[in-house]
Amino acid sequence: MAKKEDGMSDLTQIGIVTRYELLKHMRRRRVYAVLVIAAVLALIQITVRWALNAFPLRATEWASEFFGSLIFIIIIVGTFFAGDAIVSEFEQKTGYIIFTNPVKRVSLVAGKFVAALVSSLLPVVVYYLIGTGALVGIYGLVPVEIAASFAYAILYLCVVLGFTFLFSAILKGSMGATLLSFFMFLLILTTVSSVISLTDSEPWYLPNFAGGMITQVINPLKDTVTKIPNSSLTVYTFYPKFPISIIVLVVYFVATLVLSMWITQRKQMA
Amino acid sequence: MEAIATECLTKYYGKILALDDLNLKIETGHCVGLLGPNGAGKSTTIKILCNLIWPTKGKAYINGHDAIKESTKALRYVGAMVETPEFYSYLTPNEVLSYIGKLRGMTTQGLKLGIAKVLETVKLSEWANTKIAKFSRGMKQRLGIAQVLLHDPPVLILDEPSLGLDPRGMYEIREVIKTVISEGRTIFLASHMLREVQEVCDSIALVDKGKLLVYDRIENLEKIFKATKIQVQLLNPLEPKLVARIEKLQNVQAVAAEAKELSISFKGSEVEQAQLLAMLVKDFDVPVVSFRTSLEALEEVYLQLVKEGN
Repeated sequence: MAKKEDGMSDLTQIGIVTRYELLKHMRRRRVYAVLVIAAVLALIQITVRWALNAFPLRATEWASEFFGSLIFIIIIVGTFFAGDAIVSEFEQKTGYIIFTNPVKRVSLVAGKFVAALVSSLLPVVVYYLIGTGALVGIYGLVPVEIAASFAYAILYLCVVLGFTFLFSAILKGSMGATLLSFFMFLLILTTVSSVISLTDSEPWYLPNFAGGMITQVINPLKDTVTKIPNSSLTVYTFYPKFPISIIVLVVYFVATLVLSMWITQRKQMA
Repeated sequence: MEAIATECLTKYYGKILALDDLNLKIETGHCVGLLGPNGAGKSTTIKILCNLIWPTKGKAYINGHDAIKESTKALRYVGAMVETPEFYSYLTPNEVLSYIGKLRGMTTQGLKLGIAKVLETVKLSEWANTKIAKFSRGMKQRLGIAQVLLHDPPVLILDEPSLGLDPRGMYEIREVIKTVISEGRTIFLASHMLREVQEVCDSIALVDKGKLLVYDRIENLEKIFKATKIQVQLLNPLEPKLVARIEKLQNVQAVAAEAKELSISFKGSEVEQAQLLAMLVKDFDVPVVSFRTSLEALEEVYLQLVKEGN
């Protein structure tokens, strides 16, 4: 990191931005809201299974199901914390105060990203803690694959944040950036990957498909081809694979974050 | 070296020309008012200097650093307030000033002292720990001035600094600016308020439709374009005969009397102005309450130039 003449490095400035962005998330109470959502979702899943006494025999099978819901949580918290990160400086005109300081906009985006990641990670961690606690309580063990799943969850969260930051840099309104990112991951990408799968092509290059590794790493499933009886229809089911999913996620994360920094750097505040 | 300089600065917004080949040099320690009607290019100039927008053509420098290519170096010397400042509503003045001060590399001790001092200066000390969400426009304006002063910058760039303030607030901000000028700092002040500019600035850059119409010291502008107008407040109204006698005095071009006020069009130096005052009091026994140069002179210069520009 470049060191400035007055001894203040870009890294120090990123740290300062991160601290005050975290304060923003705390003051707006969004952090507490998503923590409650994550905890409630996790507890509902466990309680319903317990009430029905319908836990699968294998711990990995249940864990795979349980952590499958995490993808939804990641999309919610990622868009929640990142939607207004960049665009709000222009929309609410706070940029007139912050951009007139000797700070690179790249450092501002980096600090905001770290804060959004930390804030979004909290509910994810809570979800994993509840999940592993339940695994110990029900099965008396915690599969080692849970750690790998957690690593994939962080990577997928980075991708969701990266895309949301990109939309936040491009669009003119916070709401637009948040909704676009939310629906892109929840509807658009899911629909696109389903359509691609129907044509016997594996959508390995789509971020949501690669994000499926969060559960695939716990309970690996093989690709299947199912012929519908009395019909010419064939259903292809693909599952993400190692290591290509990691590469795909890393590429999306780096590309979207760098692009959002570049756009913010070039965005004028007229 | 100039504190602020622009060279052939040009800015288009699409097809609209907002700034047309602006050349301006502001020497260190001077206070220059950027004056002009709405859409004249004042904010555009300030935003380019503050790295908020980029010129279509030309250069801008702050203390010799390119304001665009070396923006972080250039902005280190600058305290800027652009438009009506908006702050993070979830923070308090203490927190927002700490944030900005830390980004500028101020130490904890320096920040503590600096924040207390600037909040005192802008009369916001008792609101130091109140969320900015509860602040009025005027209070935000004061906080804007506080963040400009926090790091003791040698160059201050201010866009309508007393906009939204009540008369007392305006007066206080002008006093702050005067103090800053007396400390030898450079001020570039965009304003549409002639009184403000005349009171605090030593020079005026008059812009209209993106073009620099004139840039000179205020007294030179008044000399060049029009006789000085002097407003004299009286204890009692004057008799018409006395008004006619005053009109015949040397350097006096015209006199308008209305109730307890005299408006004298005068062409002469400051020494001659002093002589006129002495004469009114001693020789004519005029009961003078106050005697001051009127704003009208500058206003006429302003209107005349903008009209000519059109």
